[in-house]
Amino acid sequence: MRHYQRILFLAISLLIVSCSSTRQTTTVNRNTELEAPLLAGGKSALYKVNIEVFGNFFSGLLLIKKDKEQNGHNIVLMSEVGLTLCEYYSSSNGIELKKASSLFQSEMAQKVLAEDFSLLVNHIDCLKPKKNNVYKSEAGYFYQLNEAGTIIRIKKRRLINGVRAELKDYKTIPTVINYKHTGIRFSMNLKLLKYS
Amino acid sequence: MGICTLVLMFLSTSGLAQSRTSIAVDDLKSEMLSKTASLVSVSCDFEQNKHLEYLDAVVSSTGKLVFDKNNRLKWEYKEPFEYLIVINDGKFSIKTDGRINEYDIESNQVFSQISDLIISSVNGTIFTDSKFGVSAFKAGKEYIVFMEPQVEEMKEVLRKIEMHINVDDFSVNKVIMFEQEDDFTEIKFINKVFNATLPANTFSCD
Repeated sequence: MRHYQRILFLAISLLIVSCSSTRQTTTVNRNTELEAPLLAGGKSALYKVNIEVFGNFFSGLLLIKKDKEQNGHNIVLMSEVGLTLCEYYSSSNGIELKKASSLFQSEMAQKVLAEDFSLLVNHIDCLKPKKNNVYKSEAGYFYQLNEAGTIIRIKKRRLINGVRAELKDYKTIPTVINYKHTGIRFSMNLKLLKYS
Repeated sequence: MGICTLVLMFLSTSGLAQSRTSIAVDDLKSEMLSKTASLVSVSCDFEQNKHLEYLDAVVSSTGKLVFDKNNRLKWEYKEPFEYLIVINDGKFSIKTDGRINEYDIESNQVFSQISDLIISSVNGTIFTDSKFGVSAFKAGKEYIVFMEPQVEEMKEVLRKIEMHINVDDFSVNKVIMFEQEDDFTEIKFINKVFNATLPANTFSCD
């Protein structure tokens, strides 16, 4: 009897170990190849942008266009009336400000926007699994995925300029993206207008 | 560069030069002011295309514009986003995503300048503004007015404004705003209706 109990215990143990081992391997493999939210397939995306910074409200348009040759992204923030406010270029080397209009000279806003935009297009690597479908990147961002494996939340805790981004209503890419910063009064909401 | 290319270039530029006749800006100003004196209102649709040259991208939008003789203006973007600018009774109002922001034109220099720029672009009197260096040409059915900002603040944003004015009714057909680098925004005004009676709430954000 004791012999059968031992075999049963070993069998159950083996089953538990093998199951957990398989699940962990699958998760790690899937998520080391996690794509940035806007890298999926398309060439360009146009979003309507609302920004609230220190109680002031601004709106405009955000064009994100893939640069096939350099494997990077051009990111342009412009007013609805058509004036370019600032331009960034994001690649594997990071994101850099290419141009800023005299209408948009706040260094703080330029830096915050650069970081927010890079979350959408920069490659995400070295993810370490945490609990509840949450993964941590080497840069210290927490990515929460839904059951389909798409990013629904990005978060970074910091005393000054922590950020939480909610990515909603995916139609290949998120159609709604809401940023909320902590430590600075800065929030930004994006709504998808066109995707190709 | 081949001889053929050079010849073609010469022909195309000389053709362009022949089709444009330089005209006296002062004459155009006075004629424009007298022709538009009887204008009560204008409403039209507009098509806006923002060209980002080095990205080879165009961002397009459309909407409706209404203007009256009291310098009241409603500039409404309808597609692919909703965005409304109203200038009325000394206030500059912007409505976007259901939110209205209102600025007092008298006390806000920036919005005062923007208001002047928009209204004078729409009614065509922008080139009477001393803040611009102006040259004008006649090309077919249009007067083409080139305006270069003379004020440093404006120069930093705009390199040039090109305005196309209808020869017959002196209405503005098209405005092109050239930014400091290669980007430019072209706004075409179409389906114009002159002197229609406007509903009382035309120049409100509701």
